[in-house]
Amino acid sequence: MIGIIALKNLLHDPARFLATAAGIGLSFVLVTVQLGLLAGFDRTISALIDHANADLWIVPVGTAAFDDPAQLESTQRYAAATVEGVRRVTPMLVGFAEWRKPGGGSTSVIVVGSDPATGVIEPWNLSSGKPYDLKAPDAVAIDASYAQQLGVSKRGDIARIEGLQARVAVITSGIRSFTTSPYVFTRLSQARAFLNADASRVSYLAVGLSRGTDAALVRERIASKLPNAEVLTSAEFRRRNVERWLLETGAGIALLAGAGLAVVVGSVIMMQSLYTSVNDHRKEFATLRAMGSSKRFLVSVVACQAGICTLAGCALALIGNTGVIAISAISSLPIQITPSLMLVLTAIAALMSSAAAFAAAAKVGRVDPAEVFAQ
Amino acid sequence: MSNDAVLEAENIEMVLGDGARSVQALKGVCLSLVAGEFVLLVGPSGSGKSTLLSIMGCILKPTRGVVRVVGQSTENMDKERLAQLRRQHVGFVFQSYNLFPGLTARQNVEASLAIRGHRAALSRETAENALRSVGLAHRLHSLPGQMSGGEQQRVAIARAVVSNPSIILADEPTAALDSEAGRGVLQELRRLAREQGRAVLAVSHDARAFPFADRIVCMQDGRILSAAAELDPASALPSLAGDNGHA
Repeated sequence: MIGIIALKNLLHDPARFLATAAGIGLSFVLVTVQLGLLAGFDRTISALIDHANADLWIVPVGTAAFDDPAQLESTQRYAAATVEGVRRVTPMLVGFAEWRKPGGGSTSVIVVGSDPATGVIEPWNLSSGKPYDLKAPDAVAIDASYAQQLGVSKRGDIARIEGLQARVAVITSGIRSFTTSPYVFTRLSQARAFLNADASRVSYLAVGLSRGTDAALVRERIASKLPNAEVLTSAEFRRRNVERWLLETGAGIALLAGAGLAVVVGSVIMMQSLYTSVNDHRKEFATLRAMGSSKRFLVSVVACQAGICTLAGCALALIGNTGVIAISAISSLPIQITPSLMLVLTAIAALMSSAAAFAAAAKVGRVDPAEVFAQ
Repeated sequence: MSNDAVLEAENIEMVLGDGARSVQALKGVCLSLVAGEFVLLVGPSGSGKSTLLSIMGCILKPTRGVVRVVGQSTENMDKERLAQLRRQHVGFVFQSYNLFPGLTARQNVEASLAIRGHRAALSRETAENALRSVGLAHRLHSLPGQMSGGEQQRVAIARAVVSNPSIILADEPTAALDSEAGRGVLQELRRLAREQGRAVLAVSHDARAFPFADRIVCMQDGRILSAAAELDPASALPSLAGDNGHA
């Protein structure tokens, strides 16, 4: 009966109910987009680290982000390889380069070079081509979402990187870069050529450990042998990337602030609507109170109204979000709706609902049953 | 005060407002009702009838005096405890029905059970029976706006009695009704007293109500007129009708 009373109170003014639901729905869409972007950026920023088959990373001192490294002496690879518990050490070269489009014009790319035979880092989600296609001279892998930006459309297309020929041998799907520069995967030696890097220099050394090895101990030993480098776990390297791009640049804070603002707007819309509803139905609430209703019952009606508004808003948001997700799938917007994000959104919905119901509940609690005799 | 009284007001005083603008609405009022009697509270506007009804219905707390509901003094009860007492023992009928406009007749009656914590499945049948007992079997699914004033007041009566209270308090129950509908409501209130043994106290300006009452209590200036003014309904009609300015 609480649900029926709550529903009837809301449907008493259908236009206002619809406006409330639409307002809440829009705010949920906004929250979802902001948080989805945040989750997407988090994943994009760390995609290469997450997909790399490495237990530890040897990085130049002060490295802030994967995409923007300094360089290490490649001989450090051998020093690290002598540490007990280290199974392999794989060099990797990362750097910005100019990509000349076949049809004219150029754009900046991030060349990621590693030996494909090691399997430490290689492109994933291949939509065209095979991993071994990258073993060929001048072969590169690009992502389909950047094909237009790179001026290529299919395997076999030829572009130039820093004046050298680059042939599209592999096309991936969904490997996005946080910066505007797409990743271009290639062999280590080819990357050196593209980046005009000395054979004695590398960007990172990805370390694989033997099974059952104490990672902390090995890390300590490697660090003691390489005073001019830092040794990070994958989680630490990942966190450093996220902090660099989302916190230090302010991008993440802007997204969180946008999401927070959307929550506030949605809550205020619902609060105003519920408060007005209690005012409109003051006579009925006073009657219930006169009949002996407890405050708890009246507050339950208001809470139920808040719940119905939230559900209606969520339903509208679901439609909106489906559209946004569909659009993001075919664009470079990396919106990610993960199970944990769904939990966060549910918690936000409950929080909004409770906050919005608070003022109305306080008001309904003050309804004087004596009002029924004053009409 | 009678030992059989289900509702008693003893030396009730009520001051409304503060300071210089305060008004003493009730001045030492005593009134008691026993089970099975239908008492009409009459008097001119401003005489304190509705205030007394509110106090005896545990909605207002008196400035001084004691109210006892089924033997329980309300003197030290807080608002929630008073609400609980109303839930357990009192049913209300209001002048303008005070039905939920969006709920059907049955749902309006069910709401009365819901606030008392009754389970939904059981409430439905109980509510339907209550509506049948006031002659509204054909109006179970009608909204208040689809019913006449008399039918709406019958729904209000069903809502008041569905929880089986020992006391029914009615505030001007026929004021908004035509003669025929008013008569039907009064007959119903009398039936509740006589056949079901409930104590019914109704405030009324309506002279047509007098013949239906077992006792008429006349108020003026916050006082109940002398004991002799607790009139026999048979003789009350001409004089009271004149007092109240009603024909």
